[in-house]
Amino acid sequence: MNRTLILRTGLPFALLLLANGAAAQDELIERGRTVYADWCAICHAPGEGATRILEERYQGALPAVVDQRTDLAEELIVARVRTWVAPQMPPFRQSEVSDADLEAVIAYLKRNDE
Amino acid sequence: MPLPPGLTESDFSDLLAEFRQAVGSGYVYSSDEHLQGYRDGVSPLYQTDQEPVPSAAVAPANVEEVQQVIQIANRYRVPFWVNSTGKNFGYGGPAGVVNGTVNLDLKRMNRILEVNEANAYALVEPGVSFFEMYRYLRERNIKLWLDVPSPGWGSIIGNTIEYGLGYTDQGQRVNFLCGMEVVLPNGEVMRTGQGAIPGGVSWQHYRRSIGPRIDELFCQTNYGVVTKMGIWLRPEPPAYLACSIMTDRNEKIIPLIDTMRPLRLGGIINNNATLYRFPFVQEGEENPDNPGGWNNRVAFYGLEGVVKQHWEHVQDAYNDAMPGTTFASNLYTTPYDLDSLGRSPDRLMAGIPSLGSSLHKTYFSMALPFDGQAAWDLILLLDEASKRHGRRYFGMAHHVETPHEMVTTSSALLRPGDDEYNQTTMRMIRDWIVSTGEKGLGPYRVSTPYMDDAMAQFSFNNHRLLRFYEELKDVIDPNGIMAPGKNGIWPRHMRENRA
Ligand SMILES: Cc1cc2nc3c(=O)[nH]c(=O)nc-3n(C[C@H](O)[C@H](O)[C@H](O)COP(=O)(O)OP(=O)(O)OC[C@H]3O[C@@H](n4cnc5c(N)ncnc54)[C@H](O)[C@@H]3O)c2cc1C
Ligand code: HEC
Repeated sequence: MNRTLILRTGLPFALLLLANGAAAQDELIERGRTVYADWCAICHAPGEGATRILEERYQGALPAVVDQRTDLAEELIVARVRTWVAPQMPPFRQSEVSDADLEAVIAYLKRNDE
Repeated sequence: MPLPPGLTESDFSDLLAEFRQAVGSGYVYSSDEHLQGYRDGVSPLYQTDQEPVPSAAVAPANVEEVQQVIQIANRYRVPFWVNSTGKNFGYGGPAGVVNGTVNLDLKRMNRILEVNEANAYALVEPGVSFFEMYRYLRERNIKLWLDVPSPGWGSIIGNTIEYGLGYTDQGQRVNFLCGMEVVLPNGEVMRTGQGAIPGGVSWQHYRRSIGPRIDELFCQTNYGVVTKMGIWLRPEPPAYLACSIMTDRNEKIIPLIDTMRPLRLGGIINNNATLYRFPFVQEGEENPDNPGGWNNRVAFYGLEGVVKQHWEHVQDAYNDAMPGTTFASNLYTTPYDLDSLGRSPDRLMAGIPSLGSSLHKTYFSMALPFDGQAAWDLILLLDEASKRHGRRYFGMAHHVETPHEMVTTSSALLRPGDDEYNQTTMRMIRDWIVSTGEKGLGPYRVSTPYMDDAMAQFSFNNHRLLRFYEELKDVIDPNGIMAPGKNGIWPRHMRENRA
């Protein structure tokens, strides 16, 4: 899989953070919040299907609602969004979640990471 | 990824260059990574050597670009498969039938072109999902309700022209379709009904032109790409009463359906009243001989006094015919606070979209007379057929779509990566198709791997119906490029592919 296709800049996430500055980063996170609301929350909001599956899996060890997590690796998010990792979460096409949207949703999901 | 049938590497790169010219380079996809989302990861064929894998995908932004893409596909004789939103899971997902197909992805065409509140209709493009339409109506406080299938991320056009069903009184939604724009397989644009009049003002009001109404030629077929569609909506009713009629024991499906028939024919019950096996059991979860029972979901829409009276009458009818039946109901009145329904099952009959998460199934759906014995006999027949493959039939849902018929959706589980299990599932479904066909019962909708088997059941007079469909195919799509094999309809040069 060609990683540079995923992040348009090809830069690792942390570098991107430094390069962009705080305001741009906030904007990216806000955009990611919208992408998440439009495309992910239908399964990942509290009580929805994916949340129930993850609740069962983690039994409280990790938050079941994906946007409350602080430990999600970028690679894991990309793999989930672009490939068939699990049959209950089909990958999203570019026409739905573009690479730029994906970059934003990654920023959103990692906004509270240590 | 494979090449399209008959193309060399260099033809293929020329083809992609032409596509890029037509739609812009950002909207032509051919890398492995970008094509994952056009494969059906919950197909029994996924990652086997029989999986139909796309060669490329193209996402036009408007009807002119669709025309150009189709003209290019004609020049290269390249088969294409259409995705409106491409969420057709259970019936083939986004993938086509033929290996190396190009996916024509219409998600970028997602404009709601018109909503007419006074006349209760909308005109939409293929990329508009049920969720998007619902949000649009609510955000603008437009007091119209929309009929939705259970997964809300699908396309209003894609689902409706597949004869998809919802659960309101517009549940057989194709009957509320009014006017289409279609790009024919030669790249020409056509409008149907009153839309054929330049500036036709009745396009979303009156469903015919003069001569036959042809919109259904584009339903479940491969005769043209629908780029606009009118859909009638329903005004928000003053009251909505969501009800359950519950019985113990599976075989009580017979009186349950027969008691409903006069109520449905007489216009007392008007929605797509669906019977669910209750408690819901499926393979591996519970003993199939569990006595089970049914939950029949019924809704009433109208004046509060009237819906209550209808519900009283319905309960009396069931109490007379089937003592011991239990009932439950929830009344909602204007001003609605629909969000307060949360994830209640009452959402669906109010046309509020949501999304479950059990996609790893393969579906097979049948048309049936509106008759209790017919429904019970079908369950027994499918169970017998399943036993021949070491499985059991767990029943699923019976949808009373209209006062005259029912459709039954059956599903079989798949185990991702377990080829032997999935091959058995496919053999079992083929057996379901043949053994019901022998009893004079036909499928209403099937998944891509069984489309030829399903069409083969309609064999009266040496398959005259299929031959007619294929005569039309050869005229409308002379190069045979659109969705070859869709529902068993093949273009001339590929008929030897028929399973
Ligand atoms: C758990 C579960 C529950 C389901 N419940 C329901 C339900 O309640 N009701 C129901 O109806 N279905 C149901 N389905 C089946 C399916 O998911 C839906 O019908 C879904 O809406 C179809 O996907 P789509 O709308 O994205 O259509 P698409 O995948 O975009 O299109 C479906 C097919 O129609 C054709 N097509 C699409 N667009 C065009 C076009 N513009 N021009 C010409 N041909 C076109 C193509 O052949 C395509 O393969 C369910 C599936 C699952 C897994
Ligand atoms: C159709 C429902 C659905 C949609 C829509 C969906 N997901 Fe998921 N997602 C799931 C399910 C179900 C799982 C758990 C599957 C499993 O691992 O068995 C999951 C898992 C994940 C995980 C992994 C969590 C973990 O602990 O391993 C991430 C990250 C994720 N999703 C992100 C997203 C993002 C980002 C989006 C939106 C772009 C999204 N999902 C949209 C259903 C969905």
